[in-house]
Amino acid sequence: MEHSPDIVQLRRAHFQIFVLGRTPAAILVEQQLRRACRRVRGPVTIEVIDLIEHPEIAEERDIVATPMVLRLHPSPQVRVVGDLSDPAALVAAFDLNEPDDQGDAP
Amino acid sequence: MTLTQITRMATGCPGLDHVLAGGLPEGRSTLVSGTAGSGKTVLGLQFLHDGVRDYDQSGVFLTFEERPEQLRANAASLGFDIADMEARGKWLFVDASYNADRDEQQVGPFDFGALLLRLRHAVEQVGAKRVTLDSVGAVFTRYQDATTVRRELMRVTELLRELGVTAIVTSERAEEYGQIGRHGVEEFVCDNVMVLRNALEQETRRRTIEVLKMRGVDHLTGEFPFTIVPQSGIVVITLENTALNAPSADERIHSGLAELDEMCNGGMFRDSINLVSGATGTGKTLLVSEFTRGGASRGERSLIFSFEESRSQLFRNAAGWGMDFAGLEAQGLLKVEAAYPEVSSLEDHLVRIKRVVEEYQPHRIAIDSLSALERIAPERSYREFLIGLTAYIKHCQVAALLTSSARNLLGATSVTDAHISTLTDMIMLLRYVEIGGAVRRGFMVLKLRGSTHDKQIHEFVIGSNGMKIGAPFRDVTGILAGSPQRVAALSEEYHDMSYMFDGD
Repeated sequence: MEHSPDIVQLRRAHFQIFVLGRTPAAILVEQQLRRACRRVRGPVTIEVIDLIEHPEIAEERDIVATPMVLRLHPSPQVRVVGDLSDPAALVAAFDLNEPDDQGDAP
Repeated sequence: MTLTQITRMATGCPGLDHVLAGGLPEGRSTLVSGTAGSGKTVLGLQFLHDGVRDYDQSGVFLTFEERPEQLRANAASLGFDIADMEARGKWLFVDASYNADRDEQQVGPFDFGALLLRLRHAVEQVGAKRVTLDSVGAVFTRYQDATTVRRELMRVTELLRELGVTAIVTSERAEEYGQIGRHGVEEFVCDNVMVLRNALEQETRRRTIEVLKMRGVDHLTGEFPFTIVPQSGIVVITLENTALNAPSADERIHSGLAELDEMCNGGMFRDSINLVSGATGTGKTLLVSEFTRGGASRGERSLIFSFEESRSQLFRNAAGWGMDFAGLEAQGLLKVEAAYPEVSSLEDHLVRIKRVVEEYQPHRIAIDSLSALERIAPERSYREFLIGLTAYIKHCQVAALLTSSARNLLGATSVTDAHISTLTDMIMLLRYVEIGGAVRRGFMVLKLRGSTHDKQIHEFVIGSNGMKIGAPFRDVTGILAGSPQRVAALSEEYHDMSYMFDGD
């Protein structure tokens, strides 16, 4: 798969994770995303937003299914639902494939 | 929620509450299944709209398919001002519609926790009593994992039950007659299922609604035709519940012709459906005019629905028979509604007839002619129309005169087409009678329910003062059969025949 030029050029990424409480799935999705983001060089911002505390955000963002991960940067925005338990699918969905020689992938 | 008594929530949809024997089971969800274009979304919008308008019950519309702005526009075309209800805090949309910008990929298991949260929030925010969920099929298109979607939709209906709201859940089906739902969704709202159909029958669209099941509660069975009209939305055509137990008055009214009153032993019944059948030009419209004049002479209002002649034609004809229709109209004793049958479906005609009758409150109704309406619809729709019409007229307890064209100029044609004869209280026949090379006109009362009547065939003439019924034809037989023959005296055969036609 061709990697996004934005990722290569900007070397920064911004993710928002929308969950409902600190459920096992909510914890898993954050772990999985952080692990996958080690592949990305440059700063990565990951926010976790609990919709139980901010129900209006669910309305604003038209969120139906949770957990939901929104990649705000680089554009285009990408929405992924699920607990991200499949690392390969996660990497493909967010286009996190860096060239192999970049180092710290497990 | 107790198990003992399921209360009903009136939908507000005309006719549907009758089919539902009062309304939807309160606090439950009802699945409304139908093919594309069958009217599911309209029913869902109307359910909420009428709740706000008629019962001051707020509503939440959860949409998986169309965007709220599309729904608002669709509703506006039906005359429903949803934006106003939203502004007054009576209506909330929860938008879960698919949007290409918000396309979602799936990685691992998920649930509809956020949706449940939004739904609960919305219901609590406006204090909703009614919820529409439109439509579950779109969720299956958006999320491929059918097992998850089914499980999550079940949680949605559980939430609806917990919130105590009465809900309509719509679902697509592939065929008009077949599986209820495409995705096995009937499983989670299996207590109550309605089906909307939009079948093509003899090049005519026929919309029907059927209550497939309402667990533990009464409802009418079978398909009921409906139509979608501005301001009201879906109008289900049913027999009014008073159809067969409406009190029957013994009171007689002036038919418009003294001779006819005499032939039917004192006049038409106050609440009766009277049919006149005859070939073209025999004088059916004239009889309608006499019926109107007769009513006006007693101060009774008549309403004429003309499907063959324009208003001005009708007035001109009347003038030719010495009747001043414009004058009657000015006095408020007459109202004429003329329209081509083709302008709308039979269901729409029926809805319009009812509306005008309710506005004008006539004592007498004439429809000229049923045959014109018959040609625009398949037989089944026509039969349903007739049943709906006659039941409504009975319900209103007014006298009605319906005309029907006989196909043949001379002789015997059935007046029992589409089973109308069983719905009528009186049948009159107008016939051309050819005797000795001249065409004369014959008038006969074929049947009169609940009374004796003159069974002879009378001659009548049409003059500048209208219709004049004269003496019975003497020494002629075979008029009904179309081949009158002079006989020395009334034969036995004639008596046999009159018996044959006498039965109800």
